[in-house]
Amino acid sequence: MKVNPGAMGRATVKIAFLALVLFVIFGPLSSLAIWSVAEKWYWPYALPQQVGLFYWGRVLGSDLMRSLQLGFFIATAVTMLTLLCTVPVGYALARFDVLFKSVIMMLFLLPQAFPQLPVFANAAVLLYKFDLGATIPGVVLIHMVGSLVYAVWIMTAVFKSIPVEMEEAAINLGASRIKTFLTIALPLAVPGIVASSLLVFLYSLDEFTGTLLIGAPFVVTLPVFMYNASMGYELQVASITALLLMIPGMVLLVLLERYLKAEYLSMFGRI
Amino acid sequence: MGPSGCGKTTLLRSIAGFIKVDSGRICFDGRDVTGLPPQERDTAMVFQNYALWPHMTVFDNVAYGLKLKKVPASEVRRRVMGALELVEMVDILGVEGIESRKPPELSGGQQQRVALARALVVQPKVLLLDEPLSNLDAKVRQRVRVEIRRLQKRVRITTIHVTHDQEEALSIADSVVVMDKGKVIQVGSPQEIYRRPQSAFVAEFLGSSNVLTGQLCRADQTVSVGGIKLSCATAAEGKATVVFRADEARLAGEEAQVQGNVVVFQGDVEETLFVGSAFRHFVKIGTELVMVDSPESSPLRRVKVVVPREKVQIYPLEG
Amino acid sequence: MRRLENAFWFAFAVPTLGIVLVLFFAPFLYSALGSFQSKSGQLTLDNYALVARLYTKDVLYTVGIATFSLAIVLFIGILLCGYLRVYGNKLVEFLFKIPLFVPFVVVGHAMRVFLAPHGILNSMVAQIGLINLDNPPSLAYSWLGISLALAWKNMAMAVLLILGAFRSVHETYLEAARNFGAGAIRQTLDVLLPMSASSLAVASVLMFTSMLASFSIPLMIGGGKGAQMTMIDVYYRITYQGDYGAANALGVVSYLLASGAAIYYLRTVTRK
Ligand SMILES: Nc1ncnc2c1ncn2[C@@H]1O[C@H](COP(=O)(O)OP(=O)(O)OP(=O)(O)O)[C@@H](O)[C@H]1O
Ligand SMILES: [Mg+2]
Repeated sequence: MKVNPGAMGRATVKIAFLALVLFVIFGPLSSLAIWSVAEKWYWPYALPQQVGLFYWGRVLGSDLMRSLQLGFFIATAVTMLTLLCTVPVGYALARFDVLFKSVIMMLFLLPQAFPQLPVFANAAVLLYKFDLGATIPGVVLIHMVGSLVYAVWIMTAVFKSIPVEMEEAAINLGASRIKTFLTIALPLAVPGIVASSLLVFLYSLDEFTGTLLIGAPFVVTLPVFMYNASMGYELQVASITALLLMIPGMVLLVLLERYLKAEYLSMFGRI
Repeated sequence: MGPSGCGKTTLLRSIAGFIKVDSGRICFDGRDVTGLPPQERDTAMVFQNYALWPHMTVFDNVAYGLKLKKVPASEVRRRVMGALELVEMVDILGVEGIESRKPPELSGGQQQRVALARALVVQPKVLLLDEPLSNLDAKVRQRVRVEIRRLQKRVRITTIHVTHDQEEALSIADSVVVMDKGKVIQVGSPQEIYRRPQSAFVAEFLGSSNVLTGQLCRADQTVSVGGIKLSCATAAEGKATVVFRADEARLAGEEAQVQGNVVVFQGDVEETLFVGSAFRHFVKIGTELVMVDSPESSPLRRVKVVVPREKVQIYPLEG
Repeated sequence: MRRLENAFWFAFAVPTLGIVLVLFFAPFLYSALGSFQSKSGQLTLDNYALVARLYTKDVLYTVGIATFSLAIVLFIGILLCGYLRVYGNKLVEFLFKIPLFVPFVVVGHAMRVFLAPHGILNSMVAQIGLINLDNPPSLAYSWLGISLALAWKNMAMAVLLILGAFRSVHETYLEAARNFGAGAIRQTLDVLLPMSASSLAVASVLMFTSMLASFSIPLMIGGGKGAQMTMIDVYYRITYQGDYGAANALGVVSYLLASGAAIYYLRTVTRK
């Protein structure tokens, strides 16, 4: 068979391009993997002199497990409370001329556009006044500021995408407003609600700024734990924690890949 | 031409080189272009939605192809204005308008002309038009199709014009290709296609045709349809479609004597509609309903439907 | 009656709105007011004078880094998305979504070890013999390190937004250009880019503001000496000096920087 030189050149370019992309994406992440198994590594060696799972064993028996549990607990609370708050609001904003509708929409939009840190620093002062500083409820509340703002928009979009005729048909047959909401709108919104709950859950797991400002020193979730380890030059511990931190996000990416729309992900530009 | 979804756009895009064909060859003037990328084929396409770039002025839209070919600026200007002149856009917009207006500000018909100018300006060997008139209203469509035909005769570029409007195809084509389900069914001059459709599909697609189902019999070389037997050479048994046009049949009284080589069906007139150019009679023959056009409304109920034998086509059904 | 029903639905929004008002807008206003107060509570402009004296350079540094990162992201993002739109490449598209779900702190830490003087990148480059590890250049702990880390993290969002905008340009507009021999780059620059300019502007504004306000990445890989990004200054001012006045004044400066973007963003989002 004759090989077309043009086609071969193209294939080479394509493979080189793919290699470059792989390097750009996985290069930084690979250093985490290498550090997580490096038991002894001094320069000028390009690779660790001694490789093993020693640090994995140590880390998994340490405070990290408590941080992990805590993080999951907080994320679960944040997700449930956020759903409870935003599903009705999203429905109302999508369907009715709620009082002050445009003002409300605006209030839910602005926090996305401004720097969080100075605001959260002052929110921390406020929470300490109410004895909520360095407590789990305090951290849950600060996570909710971010997640509510995000979830209201998503819920509104989800309910708007359900044709209003479907509900009108039910009302036409004599169903009450509440019954219509519970039997028609809510079931149809389930996929959107599930997707956004997962994203809220991940947001809370990964949240760093607010947790650092409000939770420290007693409420240490995984990102804060990793930050402390990294700043203390416990590079192995920090790298292992970083790898663990990436797992939920990667699982979600694989699960939701097909549904990833830019507008649903605004929150992740600013964790 | 062909019904919606039959593959007209697909075929056109294959000719332009946007789609790789799985098999077969595409030749222009004997030159095989099957493997060539779009820009080396010397085709220019006018898209169904025009695809004029909304961010460029009319001038820039038309000039784009020339600029890519690195034609010097003065010549670009001359040729762009020439092409726009050809489609009569210079008179409408003026030189200033051409340099400042953008496509979204133009009417459908004007956009259509600009799209045509953009294709013509590169002097293609083959001009490909994908339903160029389908976005225009009926009146403008009638006028523009005559203009396209005149223009094509003037610039003398082989033009493939896709449409699902049979009247449009018959009135402006030198040669008509009828397609169905991704296949070419018949190729011929408009008259041939109209007078001698080679399959029930073509006959039906051209409209105003009656399609009856008949039963072939090899033993006595006939087909039985609508309660009568027609002689026809057949090598097969089974069903066949029998087709004749509404305007080539005529009505006669029940008792009337009919002469010549004709086919005669017995039936009842069920309904008469005025369709503008004629009265259309719906006649029930057995279980089938056929249409017969005549200039006068017939007062009769029981009638004979008379069709010259050579106007009746018989197509054996496959399978 | 109608008013009553509207008020009823408004009631649902109260708890949600309450949290956002109390924990975002109240602190927001509080920080704005606090920036005009001295420690003893008097009205003063001293905090701003202090910010002007100590932090002007840092503010410029922050804007510079955000601009540079945005330039990298847009340059790569536009070319990449042009390629993905014209030719399509599922694998590359998927790979570029990964940074979206890597938490900021993890990006900070990973870049810290990756770009460190004896980090993986330098080791690899040294293997080829381009640099000498006895005196290695350090990307981490520098403005370049922060910019690269921010660009890496934001690339995913950029690809999602730009590709989304490019995908909404109908295929025929590209074919019309390809018909005249336009290659992938020409199609991107002449057709895709101008036709999605407004979406790209919104995306750029979003990314620029989020880069200005970035905290965890510079916290992890910023240098201890020299210029800092403003969010780090705010954080240190509070945790090490307990000086809320100056921190808030710096915070207000960051709000002002973001507000141009915020107004623009609000206008486009609410117009839809
Ligand atoms: N020869 C073919 N082989 C395989 N698929 C085909 C072929 N021809 C057409 N198709 C498929 O049929 C579908 C419709 O084709 P196309 O868009 O070309 O129809 P059309 O005649 O242009 O219809 P319309 O009049 O609505 O524009 C397309 O999805 C196309 O991929
Ligand atoms: Mg078509």
